[in-house]
Amino acid sequence: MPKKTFTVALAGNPNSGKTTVFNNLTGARQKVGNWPGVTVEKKEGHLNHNGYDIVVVDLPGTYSLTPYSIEEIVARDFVLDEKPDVVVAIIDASNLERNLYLSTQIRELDTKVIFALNMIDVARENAIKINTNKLSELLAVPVVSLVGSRNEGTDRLLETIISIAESDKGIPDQSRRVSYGHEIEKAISELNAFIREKTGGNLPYNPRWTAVKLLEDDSVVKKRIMNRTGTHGGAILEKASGLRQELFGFFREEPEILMTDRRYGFIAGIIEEVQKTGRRDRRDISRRIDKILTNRILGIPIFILFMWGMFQITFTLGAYPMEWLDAGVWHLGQVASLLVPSGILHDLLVDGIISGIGGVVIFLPNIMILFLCIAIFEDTGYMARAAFLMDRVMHLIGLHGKSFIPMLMGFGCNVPAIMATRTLESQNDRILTILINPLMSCSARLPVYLLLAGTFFTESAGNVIFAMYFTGVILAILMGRLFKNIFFKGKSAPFVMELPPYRNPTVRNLLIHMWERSKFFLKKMGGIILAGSVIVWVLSSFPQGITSSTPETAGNRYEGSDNLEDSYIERMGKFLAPVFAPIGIDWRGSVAIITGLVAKELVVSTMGVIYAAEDEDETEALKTALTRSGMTRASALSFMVFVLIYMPCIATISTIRHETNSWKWTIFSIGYSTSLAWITAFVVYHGAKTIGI
Amino acid sequence: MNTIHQQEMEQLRVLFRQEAIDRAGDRIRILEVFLDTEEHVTCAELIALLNKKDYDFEPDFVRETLKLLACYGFVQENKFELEESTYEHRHLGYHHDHLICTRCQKIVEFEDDDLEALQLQIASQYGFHMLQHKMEIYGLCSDCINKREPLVSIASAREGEWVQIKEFLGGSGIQNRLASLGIRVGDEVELLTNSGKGPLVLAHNCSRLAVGRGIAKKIMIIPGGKEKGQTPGLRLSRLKEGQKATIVRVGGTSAFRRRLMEMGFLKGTEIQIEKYAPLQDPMELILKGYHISLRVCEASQIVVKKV
Repeated sequence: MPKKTFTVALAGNPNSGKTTVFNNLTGARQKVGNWPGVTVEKKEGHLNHNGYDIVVVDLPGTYSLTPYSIEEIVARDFVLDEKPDVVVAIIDASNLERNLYLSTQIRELDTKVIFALNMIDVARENAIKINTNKLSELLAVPVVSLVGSRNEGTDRLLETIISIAESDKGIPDQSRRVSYGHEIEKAISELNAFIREKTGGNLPYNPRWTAVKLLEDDSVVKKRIMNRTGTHGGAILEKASGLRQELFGFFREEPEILMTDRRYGFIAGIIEEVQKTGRRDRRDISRRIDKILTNRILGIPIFILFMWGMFQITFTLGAYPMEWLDAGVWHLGQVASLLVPSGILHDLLVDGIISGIGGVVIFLPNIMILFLCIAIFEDTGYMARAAFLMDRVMHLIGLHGKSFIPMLMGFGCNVPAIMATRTLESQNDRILTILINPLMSCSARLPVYLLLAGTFFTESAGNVIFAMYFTGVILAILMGRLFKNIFFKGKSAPFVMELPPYRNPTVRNLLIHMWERSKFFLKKMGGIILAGSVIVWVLSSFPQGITSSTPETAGNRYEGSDNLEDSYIERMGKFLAPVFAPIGIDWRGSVAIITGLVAKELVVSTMGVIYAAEDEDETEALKTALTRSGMTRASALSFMVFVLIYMPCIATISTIRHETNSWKWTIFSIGYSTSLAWITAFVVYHGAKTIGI
Repeated sequence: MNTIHQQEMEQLRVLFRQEAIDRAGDRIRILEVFLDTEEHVTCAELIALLNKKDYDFEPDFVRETLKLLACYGFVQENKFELEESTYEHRHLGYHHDHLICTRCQKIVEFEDDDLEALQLQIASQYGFHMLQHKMEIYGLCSDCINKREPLVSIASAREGEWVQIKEFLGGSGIQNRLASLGIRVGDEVELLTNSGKGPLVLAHNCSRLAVGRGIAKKIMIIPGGKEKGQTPGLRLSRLKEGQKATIVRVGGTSAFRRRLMEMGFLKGTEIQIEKYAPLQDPMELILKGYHISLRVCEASQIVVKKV
């Protein structure tokens, strides 16, 4: 029997247990990426069942299909354009009314729909009884009950999916649908007739649905009509806007508002028929937990404690496996050194490829631990509380409360921090958070401050280091506000966030969550970072120096200053020196800054090589060398500020590229941070000189 | 006296004689009083008029006479929606339509040849032979409109005043534009700045809006604001922890209102304040059995009624 392939899309409200159902269906065979062209996470999974090869696509969790947010547009466009064979609407049975709003909208899309009533156990606990047969009958859709957290009903759902996908009956008759009231219905049928007349039935969408959307002034459908119907598009849109005006004049209210109201009316009618609610105080336990976790006095201390714990576990506990991996990479380099004869190939392998891969791999423990913590926060429902607690603070920058966690993680490492922005549903919030995240001074930048502040500000080194972090935060706030006003003006979505009841996370979900991120990280980051490392290796190793062309030292870029001085990277440093001169950084500093692009840790080690070539391991020697080199307090400050702000390391850049899904934002991020760094350093340098620091 | 009326009374005398109707003289006196007013009167009003002229007929007799006059085509009985029947002089040969004031019940007659022709034309378009028709336009008469509280433009309000928007002048273009900014009829706004020239600044929900003086002149309000007993509606953001309320209306831009409606913020829905965040913003609400958080400034766009 030839394998049959079809596509199933999962749609549903946030917190409806969609991800759990998705994991139940596909296991760990998932592909996580972005939807084309947008910063919205796309998850795809495969499963084989009874000889069917089924592709399951997890649509973004939304409350509706109105085109007010990119997630909703993505979800709707997928159903309209990709035409999945079946759409499964995941419905939180304990909250039927609100969940039906989205589900009935999906049903209107002229596609085969299955309603999956998830968390039926929670509904039962809350004394909610749902007559699934009646629901199925009234709306002419198959209804399946599930308990996602216990993996109950998954088989039944699969069977239903297959039988519906296989049936030739097409979309069941939907005689029961929302009636929008006399005036609006009249406008709908008038527009419907007009569309049919103009397009001659040549429209890929249901004309009634199209008419409804046009009356709602749906910008996406309007664009589609313009594209699909050619010359008639203008006439249709004009007709629609005329009818809208008429309705507005009649009701003194936008038609879409009235229509939303009617839809809820329709749903209320269905609820009346299918749902019986016993009297019971619902979600008692959650409320009691919240009495403590979002308590007026305790809430924020507990949150800080959790964050501190997560930070500690990620970067302190994660440091051990990090060391092991680092050692492993070093040994691998040693082994490779023994096996491969000295020469360019050896240097490329050891200094370029192995250290490049090593540079990526050592982040893995951090990433796994961080994402395990985040998965726990998300799956228990604490993430929403964190956003609730921190929203006031983040709102200063025009961001959502949920942005707090990625920003905080930025103090550790910007790579996982930027990946953590996936918890933000809104694409604008995500891009904004990503753009300002590198301003949170990551741990790799700390050695620079320690060295320079320790050398030039011995008595107040702590204050200077604190000032660096503080400057980063202030700049993040300023830049956040600026970008918000320039790029995302007026696009701010209302902060209407559900605080879902606390739930026990399943180990399976947590592990899948952790694994999918780690896999994504390894696969996607590896290539780019590797390439970047090799490029920098080439720049710092070639051309081979005249004075030290012996094969033993040629590749070891930090062993001899002669070698480095002749390399391309050194030439770049000298070439760029005029650029850095106004901010008090000499050519040696600029070389350190360039090598810092691979990883900011390299800034200090490069300085070690250049300034104190003889005694690179001795911090004291380096300090003396620095003081001797003519570096002043002002230029040290300027250097620290520049390192704080200038373009992120390659790993972060490639993360930004993948997470924003756009070269434009990536290049912007590089450009703005570097120019901001220069300007700020300039101000600091000259300011410090003026006041005589 | 009007010659038509003379003629009509003469005709009535002849008819009464032919039909041998009793008390013809009294009935003609009633017609005389009726014709004098040339207005729409109810039976009771006619009796009052008769009493004024010192006639003292029993009410039943007046009512019976009116019916009789209607029967002979001197009087037209009108029954407008839910109202008591009124009677008017039926002018032979022509017909007129009515404008009815819903507030003071005043009836204004009008006639329009074009309208008559149009009605015939419409009827015949549908293959319909018109025997009779009634045209009634309901609305407010000019007196009632003038008696209504006079509206002034927001441009003449004072700084710091809370005013409710009553009407927009100008076409639907202005209305749409203001609606897209989230300002609509019925909204309450606080006037922050009004220097007498240049734009006005309004505090509307969470945002400050600068409105050009030209547009401001088209936003009509009731003058006096708060002093006239106009208190702004209770905002959701003013409630304390644990209080319950029902939603009266959701303000704001249509995208915002729709988003909230989609989340279940519908008129009449009961809502409970669970708590405020430690930093006083956002707030947590219980709505239809689930918990939701909303920024305080967004909650201030929701007008509620305490339960």
